[in-house]
Amino acid sequence: MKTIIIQGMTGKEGSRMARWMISSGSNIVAGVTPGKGGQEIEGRSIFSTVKEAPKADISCIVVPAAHVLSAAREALEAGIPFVHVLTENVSLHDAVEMRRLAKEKNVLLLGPASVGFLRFPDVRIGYLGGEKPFDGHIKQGDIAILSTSGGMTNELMAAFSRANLGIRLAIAVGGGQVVGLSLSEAVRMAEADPDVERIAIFAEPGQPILRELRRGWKPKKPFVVMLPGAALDALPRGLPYGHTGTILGEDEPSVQETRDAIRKQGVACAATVSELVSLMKNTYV
Amino acid sequence: MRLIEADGKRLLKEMGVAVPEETATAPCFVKAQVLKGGRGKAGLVRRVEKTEDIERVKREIGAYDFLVEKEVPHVREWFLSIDLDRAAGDWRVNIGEGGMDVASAKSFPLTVYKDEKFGTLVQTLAKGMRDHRLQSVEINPLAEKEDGTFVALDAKIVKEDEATVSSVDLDGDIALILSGGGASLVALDALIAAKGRAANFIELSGNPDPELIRLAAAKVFSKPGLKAVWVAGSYANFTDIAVMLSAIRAAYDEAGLSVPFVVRRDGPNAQQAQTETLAWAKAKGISCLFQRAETDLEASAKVLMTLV
Repeated sequence: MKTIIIQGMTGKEGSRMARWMISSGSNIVAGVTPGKGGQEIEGRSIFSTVKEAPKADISCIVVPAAHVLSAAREALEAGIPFVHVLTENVSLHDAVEMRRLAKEKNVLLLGPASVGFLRFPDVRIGYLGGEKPFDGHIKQGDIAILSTSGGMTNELMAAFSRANLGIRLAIAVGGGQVVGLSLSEAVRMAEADPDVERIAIFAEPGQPILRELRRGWKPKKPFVVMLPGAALDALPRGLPYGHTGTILGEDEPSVQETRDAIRKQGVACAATVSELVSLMKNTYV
Repeated sequence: MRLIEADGKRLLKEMGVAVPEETATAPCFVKAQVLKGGRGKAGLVRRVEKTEDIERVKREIGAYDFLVEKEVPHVREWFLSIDLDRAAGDWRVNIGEGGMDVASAKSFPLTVYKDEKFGTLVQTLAKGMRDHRLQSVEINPLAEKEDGTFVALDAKIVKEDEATVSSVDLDGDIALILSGGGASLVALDALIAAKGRAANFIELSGNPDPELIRLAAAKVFSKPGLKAVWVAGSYANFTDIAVMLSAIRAAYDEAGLSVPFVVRRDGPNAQQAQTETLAWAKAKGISCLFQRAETDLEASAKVLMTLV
């Protein structure tokens, strides 16, 4: 079972995340907070540096935004192959730098501002799925949900489950302008996952994947897209709404035009959750 | 956030990029400080030959703020910008002839960009962007002087958006407290589909401090003429719904409102939030609904509109 450390586990959010992850079976082996080595949280030892902590396969970073880049650097230097960043409001410059460093070292970087990662039946990183993702309220199945938004990932997992559609993989990639694992890269990950048969994505206006879809790129598995934001068509352009990555540029097509262009390429595109659920049902045939 | 030219040039100067000197005497350029593209064509930038004409020209243009600059003799004009290539997740340098737009300039990844002519300037800008948390810098035109040095004749600078609980003011009559970047958009769409009009909205995500929630909600509730309040968001992963609702109810009470209060939220402690909110509404005689994950945002917006 993958070993996990949490950088920032002594904080309020860090310790709660540790508690929830442990109670849903994640193998957290230690926490790291500079200067707090020797303490204990949720029965796990705290170390002052990643290097001192037991070797881990995954690190979850829950430190204040200004310290995220140095925490990520530490995890990368310690050779951790999968780094998840929950923290929101990380500077764009730091996000770009983190992404570059992760690519250089071939590390899977999730976030910043990623609520987490779930793979049924038992892999849980971060907060995705709430306190108890594996208690049966989310149905297990063959769908991957990939989303810029953590809240909407959870919303879709619940909606699919109510419609008797089960989930295998769920990834909240983060809603910023630059993240480690992008939505397109997450789709490629789901394509390669042998237990995933169908893919649903939630992408907001301005996401680069929408341009790829408009131009005719299509995943190799049955695929549905939810693109909200027709409301933006009536608001001034060039400003972020909701997520900082949700920006409709001055020269970009409207949300309605984007939906039409995606559908023209033969990809099912929904405006609402209920529409997405019924499109997904049709992928069974 | 986009900066006006004068603020942008102040930043450029700080970074070590040359900008024209400000002056009070002609010949000079009088430039209206407004956030608008194509100022030249719109007559908002004018060359003035005589000092005594400066004030008259300002009045003719009719803007509030002006930048008055000395003319910079130069041999060539360029377009130079650094911005984010979202698809690549990296910074990009765009260079072209002056007057071009970013779409027709040539682009290069910043990390590999090396050029004898522009290299030093690009490095200066890149460092300055990092130090000042800028999202993009566009200089158009960038003047090349006879001696090969550059002067930024204009500056279009966008700063990174700071993390704040910001509110957006619109002209409808439904107060919106939205949660989650993605769900906020879905909720706005749902309201429009139900023929509702937002008075304003705030977006909260994660677990903000209850006091911050209360202050942000108070701002939304202070708008006159509200007909309903809609607290809408996704099925939260880790937001404490009870804490959030308690802060929102406090703001509602302080604002002295009595309009319908509709909640569509689920997640940690949602059961407690539902019980407390319904009891509060009953005690105060407020028309109130508390919907959970089974009711989607579209259905919630429709019910909301039947109460307005």
